[in-house]
Amino acid sequence: MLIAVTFVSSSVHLYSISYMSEDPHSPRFMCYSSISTFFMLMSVTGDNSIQLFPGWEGVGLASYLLINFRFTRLQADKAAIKAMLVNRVGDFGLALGILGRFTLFQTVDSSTIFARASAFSEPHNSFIFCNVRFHAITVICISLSIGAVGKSAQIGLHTRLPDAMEGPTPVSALIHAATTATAGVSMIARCSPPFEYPPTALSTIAFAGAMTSSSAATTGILQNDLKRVIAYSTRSQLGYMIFACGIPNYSVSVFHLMNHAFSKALPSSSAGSVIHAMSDEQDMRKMGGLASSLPLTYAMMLIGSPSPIGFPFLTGFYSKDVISELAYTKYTISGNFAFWLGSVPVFSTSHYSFRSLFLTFLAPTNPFGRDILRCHDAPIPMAIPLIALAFGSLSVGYLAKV
Amino acid sequence: MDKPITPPFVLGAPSAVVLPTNPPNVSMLRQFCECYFDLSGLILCPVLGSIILLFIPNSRIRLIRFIGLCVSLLTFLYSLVLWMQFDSSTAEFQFVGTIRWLPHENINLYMGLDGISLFFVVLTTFLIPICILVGWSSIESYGKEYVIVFLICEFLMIAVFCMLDLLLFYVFFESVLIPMFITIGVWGSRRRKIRAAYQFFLYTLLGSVFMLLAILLIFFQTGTTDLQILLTTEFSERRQIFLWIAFFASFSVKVPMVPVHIWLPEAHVEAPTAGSVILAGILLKLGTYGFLRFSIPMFPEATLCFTPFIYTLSAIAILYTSLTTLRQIDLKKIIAYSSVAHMNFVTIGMFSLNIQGIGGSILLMLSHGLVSSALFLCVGVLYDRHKTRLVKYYGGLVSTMPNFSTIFLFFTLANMSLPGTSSFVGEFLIFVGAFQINSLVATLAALGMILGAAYSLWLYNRAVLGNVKPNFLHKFSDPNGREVTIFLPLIVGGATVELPKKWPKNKMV
Repeated sequence: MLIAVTFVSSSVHLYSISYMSEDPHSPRFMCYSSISTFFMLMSVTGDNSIQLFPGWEGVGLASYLLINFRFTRLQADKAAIKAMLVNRVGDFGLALGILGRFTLFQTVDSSTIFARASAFSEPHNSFIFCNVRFHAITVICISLSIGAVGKSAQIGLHTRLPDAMEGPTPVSALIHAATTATAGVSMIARCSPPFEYPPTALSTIAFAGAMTSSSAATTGILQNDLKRVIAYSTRSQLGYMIFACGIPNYSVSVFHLMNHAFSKALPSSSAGSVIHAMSDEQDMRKMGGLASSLPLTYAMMLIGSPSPIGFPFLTGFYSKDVISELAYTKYTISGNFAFWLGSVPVFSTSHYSFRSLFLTFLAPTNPFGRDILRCHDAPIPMAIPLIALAFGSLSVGYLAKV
Repeated sequence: MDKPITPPFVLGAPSAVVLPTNPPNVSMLRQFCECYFDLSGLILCPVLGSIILLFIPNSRIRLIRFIGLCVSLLTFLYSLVLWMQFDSSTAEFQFVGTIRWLPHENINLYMGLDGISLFFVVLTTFLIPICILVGWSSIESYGKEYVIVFLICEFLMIAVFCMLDLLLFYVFFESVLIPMFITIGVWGSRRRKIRAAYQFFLYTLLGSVFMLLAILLIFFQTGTTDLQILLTTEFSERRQIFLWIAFFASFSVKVPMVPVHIWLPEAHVEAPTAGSVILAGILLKLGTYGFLRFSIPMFPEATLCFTPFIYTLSAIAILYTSLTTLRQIDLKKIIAYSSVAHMNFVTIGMFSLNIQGIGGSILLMLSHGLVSSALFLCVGVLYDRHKTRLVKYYGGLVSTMPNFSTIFLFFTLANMSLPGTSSFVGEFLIFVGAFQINSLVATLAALGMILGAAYSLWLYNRAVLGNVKPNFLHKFSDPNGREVTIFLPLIVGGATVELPKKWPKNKMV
């Protein structure tokens, strides 16, 4: 986790030096990006729930500050509030989960909780809520997964992710590839021992993840905004990760998270390079024929597109195919549901990834004349992170598979 | 300096005097002066300051303000010295002192500090210099009376937190209303201030009449109003219930709890900035302090009986006031209603009666004193410049007042209990404490967390972000040196009070 977060974060910082170079507020931007990384690292490296919670809320705060970076734009302000509030609803679930854990286990230290989890799985441990008796561990795990639903934009609390594209593009690369969105998955993976005990919670997670991935992918097919395509693609990959946790196979989920960090940061950054070149034009229908004008960016996008699709032997293949296989081999209702519903995004992902590639680079030229005349390929500070992420996209899957 | 003598807890000797034996015709002033670095000195310091100020003519307003500021800073340093001398290894009352008043009825001015009241005293002496600084340039009329009123108010508030005698606690508890009535009535901003001042005064007084009856009943049963004796007295269950309800009538108005919270938005909106700071910072804490110090220890069975009642009222209050805040159009009313929600978090934590709950409620009280006061100061900065408190006239302040926007953002995030600020520690501990007792109440209170984020961030977005509205905003000045000096201690307090974050971990692991 640390490798993925810090690698992507450092390449985004390098990238945004040149992306935000004309913006007078770029010191503030670098500051907020660093805050986002700080809180994410705090959340991931904590050994107890109390350290997890500030990091968790802090990445929500960082997303609020970064999305309304251009604060004079009303849509950005609205999107920032939406992001923070939807995150807060997830935080409410996480808070209830942590409170339940403390009440049940009388400690917040993760190692102690994991060791004691097996002792508390009998049905007589229960919470009484509105005069109804609930099995304690089930309640805790479902509350924690509500937190993950909020943070990772699963179905139910998904509305914030497409609107979060109001922020500058490095923001979407940072937040939605590496930090905020993946905090949810990392929390579930870290708290995996207690999740083993309630089967209800696991099937809930599997259902939620599968529904998210298929709904996001089918919505992404018809999007015209380049960044929104990437947003929906991120959501569907997050859905994969969550339902991999629900199968349950946590190590594959975290592996997919790491691969996704690389293979999503790359298309995000190249999209940013395209948008920067086209004078902040984001609509794909108004782009086209950029393959000859932006050769480096085209090459990066060409590497970055098949990777999340699961093209054989690229990064995404090693984790995405494994997830589908695991879902196929699990003979429960949730496993079967997850498999069939998880096959839909495979088709959709390749459709929208290549659609965005074609419309942006290979279609007949469609943009305004002034954009085409002024377009320039990525300058060096933007190109270096792209190349680094490209190497990651190609090789991390092979190198890190165990 | 020698450590003040702390008398051992002696039963049946309420008039245990720590003063050297003196013939009774020695004046009280001598008795005060003989005990330096004692509570009597702390309480007397602002009074002496205000007496000195009475003799300075009105025309020398700068000298008056300067002396007032010096006196309040002196009091603050005095309280810091007391804090440093405080021995945190015992749970006894420290710096105990008595002044005989009515020895035959066993009612004396019995003062002492323990760990809880110490922090409230420090909070009081911390906020008063800030209040005097606030009124430096914006109070045009009756400037001398302004400083004197705040010093008297400081004296009364410190006395409230130090009093260990029930009747005198009540006397000072009610006397605090007088300077606040004057503050709202004289230096408020519009005509509605008269109505607000009367409403504030009469509401609180009506509830407190029942408390006076209860104190009389206690006195006739036990023959004393000394707290340390009353803590060991056993009241019958029926009597406890009656006494608890009477005390509740008084404290619930101050907290404020929901049916009787109506005075708060009125009083806060009409008060001057410094008045709102003191109201939010200290006066709201008097109610919950009363619960913690008097209701819960003296009437344990009644507390257990009424805990569901308090939980219901507090949960309703949190949800209702947070939702109401979303609809307000006046900056100060938004912050006033959010104060109501925070104080009801405190009562939920307090009545959980476990270590996390009570610890969290004290922490949230202290941090709310800092954060709410700072938010009222932010609104005061805006009001000083633009003379309006309606949100619709504000927008895009970040473009012209960037420093102010940063400070305002910090306190907005603290208001919604973002981790990393002091309010989070208190609020989270309250949730932990409450969840162990009643998970439904904890869930409803956690819903307040979401709503808190909603109104805080929405206010920030509307007022500070967005585009400047040049039709309405004509002054574009960032906070000047005096205003930044006011904010700086509050920022330091708001950020570092959560440093004992290892403390909840120790409590929990």
